[in-house]
Amino acid sequence: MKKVDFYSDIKEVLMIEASEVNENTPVQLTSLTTLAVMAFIDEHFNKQVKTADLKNINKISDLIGLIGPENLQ
Amino acid sequence: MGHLKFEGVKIAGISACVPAKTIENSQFGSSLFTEEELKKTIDSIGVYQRHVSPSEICTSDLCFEAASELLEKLSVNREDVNAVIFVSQTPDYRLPATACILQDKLGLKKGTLAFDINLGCSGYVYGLSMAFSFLNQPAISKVLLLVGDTSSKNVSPQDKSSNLLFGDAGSATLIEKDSSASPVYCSLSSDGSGAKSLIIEGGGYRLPSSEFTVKVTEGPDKNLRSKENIFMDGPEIFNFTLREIPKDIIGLLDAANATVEDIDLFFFHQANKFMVDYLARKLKIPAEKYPLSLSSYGNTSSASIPLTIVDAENKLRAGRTRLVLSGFGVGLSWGSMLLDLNDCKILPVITI
Repeated sequence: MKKVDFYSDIKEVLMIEASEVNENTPVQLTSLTTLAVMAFIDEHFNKQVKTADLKNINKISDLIGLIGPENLQ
Repeated sequence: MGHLKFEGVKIAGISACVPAKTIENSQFGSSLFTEEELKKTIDSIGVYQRHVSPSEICTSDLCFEAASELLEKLSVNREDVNAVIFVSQTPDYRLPATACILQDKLGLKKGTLAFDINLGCSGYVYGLSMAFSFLNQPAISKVLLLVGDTSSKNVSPQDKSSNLLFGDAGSATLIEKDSSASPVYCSLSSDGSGAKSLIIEGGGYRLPSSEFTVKVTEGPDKNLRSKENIFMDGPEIFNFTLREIPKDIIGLLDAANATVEDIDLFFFHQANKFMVDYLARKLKIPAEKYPLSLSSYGNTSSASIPLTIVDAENKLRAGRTRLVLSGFGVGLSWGSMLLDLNDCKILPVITI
């Protein structure tokens, strides 16, 4: 997935209101956005993440770490 | 486990009953949600209204009404019913089995085979497969399958993860022999390593009811509940669903030499709208092929598949309709089934 598409998609998935999303954008997962992130990662990266994997997600760069930066161009 | 195959059996009729009392989720008076949060949650889970039982109505009462109506409308002589199976996690008593009580209450003859199955979301598929198995016996010609739950009674009102989700319902399905019926394919599975993802810990024999089990405390997810309330780790259940259900359904279709296109309708356990929509998208099932009953009834646990079939009666074809049923959740336990409904009597939802 292209990094630019990832930022635009993840902004929608996480319902982030800030106009620009980058690696440092803070992330606060709720029960609803947790499901949305799991679905997003499953659909685009064919990876099933566990709840425990999402416990320490505080910003977008943490999510990129989970997905694997090599999967973003 | 490999796939099960049943021949010479059919569903003769299905009915469902819900309590008259409803809760509109938009009116859910709680300081737990901001107005915006409430709206977003409702839209995501897709539950706008739920039917909930007052304390005096048990699951067996809902199933009793559904069964009485079904037997009457199908003109079934009660003497001819050989077996009654009750599938629920909200029985009348810890003992005896509710099926025995219902055998008597429904006026089925003494000596009728009767027992309970303790399963939730997957329970309808398990119950049907049990009924089909019995019908292979010459001594058994009609089985009454009663499936339902009053899960709303188990929810902590202060638990944001489940207080808008659960509704109550009971169902009745009559299954009988039919030598011209198409084969039924079925897959049944479990993974108890996920038992704690959806659990009521207190009130059984591992953790008997006590002052401790009814004390409301803050859980790992910051929600307030007691050990006798339902605990649900939604994301973990979602994760399990993504991992197991698509491949379970694809395996079932392969076993039956069928494709998604060959199936007229898919009836999923109504976990929540987000989850069911995602599952359907992953399996490339178009929206018109998977009816939802969540908006009016919520997640009705074991009753959700038969209730959704009854609710979607107008989508069934006049003759044969090919269905896939898929139930998944508490256990963890899951099951899927491919079968045809042929001249099956579907009754309108009953309210008591």
